Amino acid sequence: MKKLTAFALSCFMFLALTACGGNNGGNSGGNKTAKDGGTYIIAQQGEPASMNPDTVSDDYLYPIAQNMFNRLVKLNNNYEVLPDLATSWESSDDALTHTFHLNEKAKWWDGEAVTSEDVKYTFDTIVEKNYANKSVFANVKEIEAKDDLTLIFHMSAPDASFLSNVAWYGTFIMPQHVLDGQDWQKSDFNQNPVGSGPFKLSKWNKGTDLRLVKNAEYWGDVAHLDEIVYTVIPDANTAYQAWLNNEVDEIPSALIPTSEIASMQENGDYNWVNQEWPSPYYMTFNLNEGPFKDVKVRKAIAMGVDRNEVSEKAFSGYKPANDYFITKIFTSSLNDNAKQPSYDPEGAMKLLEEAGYKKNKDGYYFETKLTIFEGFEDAANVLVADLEKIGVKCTLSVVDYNVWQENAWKNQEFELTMVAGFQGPDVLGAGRRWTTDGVINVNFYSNEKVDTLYKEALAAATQEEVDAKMKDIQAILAEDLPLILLVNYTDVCAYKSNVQGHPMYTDEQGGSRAKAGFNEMTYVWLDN
Amino acid sequence: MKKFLAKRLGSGSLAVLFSIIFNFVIIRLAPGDPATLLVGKDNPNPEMIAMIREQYGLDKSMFEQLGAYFNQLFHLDLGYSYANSRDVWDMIVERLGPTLMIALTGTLIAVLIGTFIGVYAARKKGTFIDQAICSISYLFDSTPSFWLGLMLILLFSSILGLFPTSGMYNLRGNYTGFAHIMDVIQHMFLPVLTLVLLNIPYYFRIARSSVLQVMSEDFIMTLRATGMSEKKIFNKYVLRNAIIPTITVFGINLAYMVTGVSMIEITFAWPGMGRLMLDSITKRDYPVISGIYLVLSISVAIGMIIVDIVYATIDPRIRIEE
Repeated sequence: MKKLTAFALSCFMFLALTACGGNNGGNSGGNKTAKDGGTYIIAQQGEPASMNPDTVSDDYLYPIAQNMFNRLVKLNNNYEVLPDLATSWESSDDALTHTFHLNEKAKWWDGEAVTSEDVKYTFDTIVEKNYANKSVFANVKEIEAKDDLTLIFHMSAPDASFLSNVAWYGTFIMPQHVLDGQDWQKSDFNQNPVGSGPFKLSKWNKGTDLRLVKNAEYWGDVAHLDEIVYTVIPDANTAYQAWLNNEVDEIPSALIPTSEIASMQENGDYNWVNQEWPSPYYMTFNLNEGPFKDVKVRKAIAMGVDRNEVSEKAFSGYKPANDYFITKIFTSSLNDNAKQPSYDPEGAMKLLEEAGYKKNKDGYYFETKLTIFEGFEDAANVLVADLEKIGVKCTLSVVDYNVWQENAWKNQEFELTMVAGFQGPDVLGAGRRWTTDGVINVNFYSNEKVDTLYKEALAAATQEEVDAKMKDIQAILAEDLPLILLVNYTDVCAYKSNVQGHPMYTDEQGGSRAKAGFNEMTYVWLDN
Repeated sequence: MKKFLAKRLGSGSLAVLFSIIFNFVIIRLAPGDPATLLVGKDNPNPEMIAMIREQYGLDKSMFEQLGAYFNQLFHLDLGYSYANSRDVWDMIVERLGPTLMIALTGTLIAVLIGTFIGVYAARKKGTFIDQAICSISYLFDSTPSFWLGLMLILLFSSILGLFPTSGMYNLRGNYTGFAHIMDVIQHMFLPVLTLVLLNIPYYFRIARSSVLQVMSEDFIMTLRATGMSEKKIFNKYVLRNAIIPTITVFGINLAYMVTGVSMIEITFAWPGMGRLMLDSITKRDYPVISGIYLVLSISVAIGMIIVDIVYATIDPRIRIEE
């Protein structure tokens, strides 16, 4: 007797909902009928390194890969897991067996069928060769291709984030019949891939454009666009001008200057989406030496930093302040009794005095340094000014990312630093940032209780259990204060008004969130 | 002349050899680990980092790595880019063309215009025109290339709509043949204009000062005393002597051409080698960086030899000194 886990259940519920939506609303906003054809040009700041999205993390390939390859399941812009190659899946009661049923129609571009053997081959290779997202399969004991369309994961321990991680990054299914016996990193596949997705690679002119054409024989919904062109414009200002001049149709939302948003929103030339990501900007302390060894001092800093001011001054209010120790997106996991200290400069100075600091003749308790890599300057300047107000003289040091990684992170040569970045598709992703062996635990924070609770959360069978453990962890983080979350990363995205069915659009805007992955362009069409 | 050439070739090869070793060492001394960067910021996987280091020999001593590199070069192999899973040679070749297109065109135009204005200003020394040209030249001389590039984009693309902002060809056009060539020329215009505006002051100043210097020399006074026409003195004696520094600078400038256009390539999304170099430095893609430096140092060495030959042809005094 098998029962659906919380995850699968929520997915099925979600599917049921979207199925209804589809029946009512058609596939676009304003009851427009989708038009086929057209070329859609997307500018990126850099170029992918290869065409295999599984070997190393490559943020420039990720959006492209979602149109050329398929995953077992895929994440959409609501962080929900959607079917991709798998049409359905279920888990055993003990959450130790997950069974996926593949779409029988799925075909590679060369006409071969996509089978469970391909999936097994892909994941086994990722684990065996230590490819980028090997950690997704940390709790998988064995992958069994039961028949062509049935795939079973035998787990060594329950893993609550397994499904969303499989749906996320570096887990695209590769064709065994093409790659078998080859070294993925040196294969010609990296230039001439064979995928199973809705678009095929037609030409890659290095340094300028990478062109995908519609896969007219696609086994799923066939795309509307004839062609997607990914072009490289490294300079943000140039990319913005190229977009305004209609040389390109889409640029990364981060390249739209915040100062322009208000006036752009006044004219009706754009469709707007506010997308909040589980990517908080946060500040961390050196816990092993210097003034921030003392938790009282950390608390004083936490009280002396005005998160709302950071949001207003550094991000024109577009990135909202975050009051919790985890990103506020995952509402069910938030612990209201363990919020970050609220802004209180007076209290902060009192705490510093309690910690034994006295103001020197210049009016400072102590001096410190905030070491960041490029990109955090605006927020960092606000922090420096805030610290000045509580009598902490803070100098700002901006270094190259490589230097930061080597000196600040690896060698722990910093007092204060800042980090951001996508934490993961579910609330458990944050664990990478504060567990002892977390891969992006920048200040080497280590608390046994946190580690234990996090392991329990990973092994939880239901979302309620995950939430409970995450709340306990927040209570400990509130005592230890290893980091302060500042603002939540929010994209204010603008798209040309003729662009329809975009995966970023909400349902009311006629978007394809319900059917498409993050950057999957299958349902995009141009209304000229 | 043969001895002269042999000597130049010898010193050129030595310079190339030193520059290979120097660049090989210096890039490895910079902080940053290619394997860590390759794996990515969000999901560092320690096992994979170790594997990549081993696979590409990054775990060996620098001395051993250098030995292996020379062995590769000996077999005419520039190596394999770990960040791009491609042969370094292929990557450089496809980027060399676009870079030379704008760098050579821009520099040649700048040399011609700069020298012409320089000579003109020198003849009008001290007049209002001379002072005006000098001031404008200082203005452009102190302008950063990315800023000037962006201003030209705003003016010519966004406001006037005359030229595309960036790229090498129209992505919607799919042009072929003559239409493609015209399209590329249109895309070249702004990057070349940026380069020209930034380089004119350079050649302007050299031409102006060397003309002034030659004109103040004794032999010119002697020529004047013979009653030779000013026109003949200028065209036959002043210009020929004054042009030599320009050739020297042009030769040296070959070395900066690729690095000099890299900011322009970034601003205009031009698929050149300067951009590849900056990308590779951020990724610490050692084989590509070394490969580019090798190609650069060889071309600079060849450039200098050519300059020396041109010198020797124009000015026999140089040959005699040898």
